[in-house]
Amino acid sequence: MEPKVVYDVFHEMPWGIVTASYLFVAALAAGTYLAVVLLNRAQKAEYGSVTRTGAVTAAVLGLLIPVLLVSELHQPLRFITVLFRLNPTSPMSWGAWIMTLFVIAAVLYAGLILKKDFQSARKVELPGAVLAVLIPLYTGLELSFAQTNPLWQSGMLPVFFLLATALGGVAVAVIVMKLSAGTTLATPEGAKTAGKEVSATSEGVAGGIMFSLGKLLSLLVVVNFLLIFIMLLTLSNATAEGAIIAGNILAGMPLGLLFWLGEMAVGIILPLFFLWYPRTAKTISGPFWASGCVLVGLYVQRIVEVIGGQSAIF
Amino acid sequence: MAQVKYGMVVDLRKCYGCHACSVACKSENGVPLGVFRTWVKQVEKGKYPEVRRYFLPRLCNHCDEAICVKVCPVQATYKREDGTVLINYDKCIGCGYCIAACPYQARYIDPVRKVADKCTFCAHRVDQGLVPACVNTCPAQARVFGDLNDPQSEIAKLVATNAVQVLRPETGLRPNIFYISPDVNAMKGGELAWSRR
Repeated sequence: MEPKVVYDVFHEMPWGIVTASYLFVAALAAGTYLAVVLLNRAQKAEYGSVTRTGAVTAAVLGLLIPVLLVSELHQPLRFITVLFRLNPTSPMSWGAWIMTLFVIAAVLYAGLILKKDFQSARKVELPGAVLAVLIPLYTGLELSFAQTNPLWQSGMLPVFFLLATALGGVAVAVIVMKLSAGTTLATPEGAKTAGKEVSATSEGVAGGIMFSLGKLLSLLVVVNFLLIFIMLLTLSNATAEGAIIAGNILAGMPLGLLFWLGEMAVGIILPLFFLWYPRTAKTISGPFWASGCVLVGLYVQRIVEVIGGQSAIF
Repeated sequence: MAQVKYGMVVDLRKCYGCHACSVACKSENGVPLGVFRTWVKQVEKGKYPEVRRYFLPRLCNHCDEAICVKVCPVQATYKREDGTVLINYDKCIGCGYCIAACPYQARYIDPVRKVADKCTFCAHRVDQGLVPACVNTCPAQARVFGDLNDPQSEIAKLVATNAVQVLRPETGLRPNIFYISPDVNAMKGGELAWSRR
């Protein structure tokens, strides 16, 4: 007969939806910033409306990070002490600085672009990009310090967060392009048949980049799916604790519902449908709707990771 | 003489799950409703008439390599020279990182003070030469507190002369709560923990 736990005490799980939102927004802000910088460099045209809107989006998302972080604290008025009571062994301690400097860089970059001071903006680009790469790495590392959390300690989280940064950045870039350029974006066929003249316009260039981003998006979605599959497979076979967490994610309620509906159906299957189905793949709406689904999927993925990791006590 | 290093031995051959330790701790430290600094986990094995209940008193393990000290972003959690892990409540920002990192589920957010909290080994009592409230109260004398570095202390003798076990030794945190005769079913976890308020 199976032993039965008749009495135990469970303290509330410390991190929930707000933490998941913070991880999602942080990856999105960093990804958007990186996408804007890369687009700007690749396009080799002067800063257009897409870059402007993208830079402002990155700054706004960046400003949301501290708001979410502080709102999760039980002593929010003490948040500033994180910056001067440094603990070198705590990823959260370095993270506070990385995050603060990134937010400053993102806001400064957006401000300089809006002021059309492109030379100064170029100087901010690189340090901001380094900080943007550090954000997913530090957040992934932060969770991996939880000693008996098999999901968080799997070593996959920094990789997932880095991937989320890339996915989020591409998705936001596509959405920003569609919204800022409207419906006048050229399709690949349109750009081809219209020749140099049309494709040289900002709409044509943006349209071409948007389809390239759509291809990149589909590749990243496939990589994300493969990594989720590998993680759950290793998690369920590595340790008994890991198997319990994997079981909670795959079949528990409400985690299972979130995983299959949010993370898999909306985050993986729908974007691939929009990007691969011939009728939607050839329109601008394909990458646009795929990007929207990717963002929803990424958010649900963060919720599943944060709450799923704490769904069992060992 | 070696520096004082406090620890606790819980002799599970003596514990009969009366929860007096939990009550004494709550009373001594003013622990709010809904949270516990120490509690007694109970596991039932077998089928009537061959049935037995096993007890496992739980508390902060005051680890030598305390992960909570390592991850605290504002150095609010610290380790005293006598090995006791304490929290500076005026520094704690209530981020919950120590709670997420602790493998013993020993920490919680105090619903009144809104800071992290846990067992302090009743440092205020120990500093006055007394033993922690749970040790003082235990009617079975299952809990023994003392200096692990003093070979003449009762705790050091118990650790030396009994097969003792710590919880989750694989974490490498070197916990200082030692159990005599624990049941493997009481030591393992895996329960669902959906208790976010």
